[in-house]
Amino acid sequence: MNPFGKLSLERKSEITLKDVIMKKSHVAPCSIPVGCPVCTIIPSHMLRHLSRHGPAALREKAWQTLQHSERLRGQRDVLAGLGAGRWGVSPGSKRRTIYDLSHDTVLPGKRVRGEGDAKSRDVHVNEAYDHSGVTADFFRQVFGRNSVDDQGMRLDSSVHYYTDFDNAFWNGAQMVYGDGDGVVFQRFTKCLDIIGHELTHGVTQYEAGLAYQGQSGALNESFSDVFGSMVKQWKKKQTVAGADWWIGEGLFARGVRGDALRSLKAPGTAYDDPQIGRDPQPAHMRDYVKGGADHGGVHTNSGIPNHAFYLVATALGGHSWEKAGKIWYDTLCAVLRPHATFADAARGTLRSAGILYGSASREQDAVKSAWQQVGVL
Amino acid sequence: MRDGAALGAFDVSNMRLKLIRTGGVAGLAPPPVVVDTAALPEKEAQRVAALVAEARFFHLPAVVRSRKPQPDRFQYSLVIEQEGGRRHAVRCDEEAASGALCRLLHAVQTLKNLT
Repeated sequence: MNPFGKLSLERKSEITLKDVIMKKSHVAPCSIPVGCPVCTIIPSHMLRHLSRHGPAALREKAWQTLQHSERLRGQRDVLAGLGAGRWGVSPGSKRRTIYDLSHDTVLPGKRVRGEGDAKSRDVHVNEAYDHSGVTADFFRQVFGRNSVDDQGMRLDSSVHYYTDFDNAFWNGAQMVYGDGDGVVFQRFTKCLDIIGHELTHGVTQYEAGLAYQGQSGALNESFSDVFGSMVKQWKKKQTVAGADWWIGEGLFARGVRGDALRSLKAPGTAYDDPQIGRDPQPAHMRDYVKGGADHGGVHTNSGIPNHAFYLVATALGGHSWEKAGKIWYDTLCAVLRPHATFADAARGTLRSAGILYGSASREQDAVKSAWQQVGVL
Repeated sequence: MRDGAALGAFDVSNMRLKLIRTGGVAGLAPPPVVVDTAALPEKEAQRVAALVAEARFFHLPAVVRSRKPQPDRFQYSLVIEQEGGRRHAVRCDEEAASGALCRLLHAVQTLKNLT
């Protein structure tokens, strides 16, 4: 199931370790024996970071090193803060719980399906369960990530929020889905990429923590679209050429003139309808929308970084999650800070591509070209 | 300005409401919902009046912002004019709104089909 294969994952882990060490401590990477469990030259705070945020193979090594250090030095505090939270749940297991609000708004509602329980008769419940499971599997199998917080966090979802509610959201701790009004929208549990989008908001919260305003907010939105799209492509085993690159295809109710909410391939073309208007997304900085609504247009200007990802993925070919996805994931987890701009994201992905695939590599060139084409670089 | 007494048969619960919603996972900006409670069925008008009272709408600050906005939530701008000239406008993030204000906002939004 692992698309990288065991050997290549190991190799990637070493590259990433060197990168993290260079960034965090400015120590020459060659002085550090990667496979060695007694790398006491690496500060414990960095090992803690690696044991939580590094790739799967690396987390194990970092954890072993922390344990070894503790035995050697008797420093129990090295392990403080990791403990049961990190290791109470074995990597790979999921803890999904679905709640039914029965049109109320007081979260979470009545528990109706837990992990491993039989199917419900309610399609909303089953879709929330299945799609959050696929998303969790995607993050684990592709990036070695253990749930939203990388510590095995529970995946809670509440369905039937209020009446005819036209939205889905992540409230910082769980997912919430409305039924849609049946006029513009169908039920919000319907699309795998929308559920992937919501869960990725959780991942971003625990990683770069991108502030939900202006450019950092549009990046927050874009990471959710990019990973939501990749979850769908991964589930369907689609190549970049075979994917539709839409977000929320099939979410609109019958009669609405539109294919989807957004398009990474051609931002601004997803819908054009007399009732709801026209897809306002730009694909280039010259069309960047300034203004106060929607936290400074976070769902509008995300079209620009969305299209940059599309350009990188299609330039590299194959499966989007194998290279472009890896570059974007590393940038989200190890580079970007809460108030990052589009330019920061461009420089960050350029740097991640250089570390993963080499300076002036085909991959790094693709990243540079993409950000140039959307007018950020 | 004319006042209620001058007009005689004035129902103090008659209100004009204008609601603008932005944000949400779809990022749509649907047309504003404009409602005159005088044009609503009586039961609906009474429900809206009760929700306005419960939310203590005319005592709310003009801006109700979330210190840490939640992704994909709605933002609302609601203006209510009462006959007699009383007018108040509130802009808010859904996650920062009280339960009563949320119920009012959601109810007004779903009145769009009755206008």
